[in-house]
Amino acid sequence: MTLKRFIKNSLVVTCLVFPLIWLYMDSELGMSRRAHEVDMLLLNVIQVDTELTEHVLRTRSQLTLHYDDISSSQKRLHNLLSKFPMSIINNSTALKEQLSAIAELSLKTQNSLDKFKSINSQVSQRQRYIKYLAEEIEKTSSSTTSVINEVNQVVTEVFNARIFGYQISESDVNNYNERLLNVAKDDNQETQLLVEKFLIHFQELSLLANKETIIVSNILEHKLRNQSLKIRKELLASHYKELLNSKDIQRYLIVYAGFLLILILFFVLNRRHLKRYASKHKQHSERDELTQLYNRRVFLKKLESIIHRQSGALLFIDLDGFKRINDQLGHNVGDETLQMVASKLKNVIELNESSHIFAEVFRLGGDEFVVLIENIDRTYSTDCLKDFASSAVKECAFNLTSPNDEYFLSVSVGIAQFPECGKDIAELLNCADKAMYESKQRGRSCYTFYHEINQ
Amino acid sequence: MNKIVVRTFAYFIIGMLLSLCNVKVIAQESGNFIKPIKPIEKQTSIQRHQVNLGKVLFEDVNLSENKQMACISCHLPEKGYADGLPFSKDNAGKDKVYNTPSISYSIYNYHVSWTGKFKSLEEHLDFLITNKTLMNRKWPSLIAQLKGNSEYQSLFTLAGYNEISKSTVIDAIIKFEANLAKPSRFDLYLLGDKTKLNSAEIAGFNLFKSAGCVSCHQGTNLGGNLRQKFGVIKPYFPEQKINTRDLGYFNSSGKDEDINFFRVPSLRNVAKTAPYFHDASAPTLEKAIQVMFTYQLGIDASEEDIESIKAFLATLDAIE
Repeated sequence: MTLKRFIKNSLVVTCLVFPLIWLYMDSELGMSRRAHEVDMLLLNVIQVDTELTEHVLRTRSQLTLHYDDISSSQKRLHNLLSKFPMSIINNSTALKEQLSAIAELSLKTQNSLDKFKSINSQVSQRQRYIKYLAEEIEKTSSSTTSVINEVNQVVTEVFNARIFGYQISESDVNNYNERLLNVAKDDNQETQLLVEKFLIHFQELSLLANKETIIVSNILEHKLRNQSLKIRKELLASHYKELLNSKDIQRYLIVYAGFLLILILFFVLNRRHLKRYASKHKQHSERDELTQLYNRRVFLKKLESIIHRQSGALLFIDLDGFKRINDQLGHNVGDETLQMVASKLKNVIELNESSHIFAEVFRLGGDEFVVLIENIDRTYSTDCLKDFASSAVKECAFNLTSPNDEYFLSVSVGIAQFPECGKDIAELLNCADKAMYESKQRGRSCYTFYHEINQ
Repeated sequence: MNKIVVRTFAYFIIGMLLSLCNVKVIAQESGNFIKPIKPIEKQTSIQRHQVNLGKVLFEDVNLSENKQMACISCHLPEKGYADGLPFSKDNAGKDKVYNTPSISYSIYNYHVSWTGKFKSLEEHLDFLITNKTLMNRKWPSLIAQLKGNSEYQSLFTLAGYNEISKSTVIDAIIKFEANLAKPSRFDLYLLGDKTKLNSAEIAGFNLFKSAGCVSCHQGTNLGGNLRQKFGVIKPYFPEQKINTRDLGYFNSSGKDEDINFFRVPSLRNVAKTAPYFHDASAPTLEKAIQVMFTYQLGIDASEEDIESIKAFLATLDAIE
């Protein structure tokens, strides 16, 4: 198993184990039983409270004509609190006090709900009765339509108030009273009695309706829910404090932190390994091992990238007499010679580089080197190239002495300019090669421009 | 591409199904909120052994101190689980304060007892068994007695209770009481069988709704889920001579606003449970209906109206 694979597997395993630990902590230690029970109770109370308000509002706007829903919610609330196992919280007095506050509030809510039911039904009963009285007045009233109109107006007002949920104020009630009594003055005895009765009931009805509104607004304050939410908040805060102080959680936190560290370590190691691996491979693929120059592949790539955009030249350099050195003095000397030439060429480049020219040396293979010269700002002159080539020829001409013999080493340089010699890499290389052969024929240790051969 | 099309189609179908369900729910809801009375449906799952145990406990005189009283001595099956007497008898044979209410539909009540001071049947049963003038038992001795009885042991085991305790005894009796709530002809009518009621009875039902009886006698049990003042429109009790029992819920709560407030009783089985009201002041159903008309609704009812309401109330009797 390679290191990479090992790291990969261990990462997967860690990723799987983590959530499991987290889950375990969450379920086993995240909620102690007591806190959980109380929390469930409070949640249920909140739910019942919401349910109750919905039922009350429905009943008030007469969407339901029965109180079964309210009663069943009341029953649920009662059961919740009466069946709650108080023994669980025996040792926590603060919690006990808070829960008793909840119980008190729920008792109050229950009472106001009972009252709401009876008042609500009384209001609808009285409404019906007032309508009945209005009909009676209509029957008995002698002649004037004004009484009937007035009475009907009151009835309409009452029904509107119920439907649209507004209150009939006391002054309004008094107003109606006066007007009705005034109008009914001239009517017969029976009607007057009925009107008086009607007014009494109207007054009571408006009082009751106002009471109902007050009760409903009280219920809508959600005291029970707000208290429960408050307690839950406190409970949660104290609960986390407790958790952090508990030994179990500390142990698990250490385990968790350990796993986290291991994960991070793996990550870092993996990253470093990959980085080193990548850079090593890059060097292998780009550099020539012997001379540490860029190799043929990089040269071709580079040439391809600039050949269409820029002008420049190729200096094709071939060693003269290298074969003899290699054969007679051995490969070791040959290699050393090559390294020497490479460093000399590097020196040449350093000497001749200017702001107009950018040059780089490549080893194509064997004893062949190439210097690629880019003309950066297009102030190109063949003099520059000539300087370059001549310095290369000068630098690389030297003698090797051995006890038996003396070896003379020099370079022949062929120069091909682009884009003058074509824009194709193969063609360009061919040209440079031909120029190089020309210099070899001219007696070695010199340079030739390709365009000179053509002439 | 094909997969996406299939998936979209599947989601579409699921969505359609869900919306159909919603429509169904909405339809059910809208059906409910205009109905003042909800029907009882036939109970589907009856725990036969628990009911049986409850029945045995209900009829056992050994549950009382003097071994002469059982639940059944005041709640007689043939009288609609009331006793037909003006007032219930205590363990010495003397009259108690209130008339015995019927318990056949008590499972649907929210307020238990005449003033509604108990919020659940459990509390009320506890009260009845430990009350000095009634069963007069202490729970520990009663449990010990039941445990000593091998018949009860097998009955409790059969019913699926793993112990004989206060809660299991109460639970068994309540299971028995719940089993007493049988649907009536009127329930069948509400559930859709329109042939169950004749025209006079339907007219009675309509009068019941239009006259306003329905503002208190509503819900599944036609009452039982609220307290209301006796004498909403006209005061029912003469002010000079008022009995303690007539103060109603005031006796428990002590608040002035609760004077004369009573639990609205259920009207199911009402034709079988004469005499009526907490003080048995109405010996017949006609009288009771008339009192309700005058004092609660303020209407001077005619003979026909009373007859019509009576015909409707008769449809509320449980059918076996």
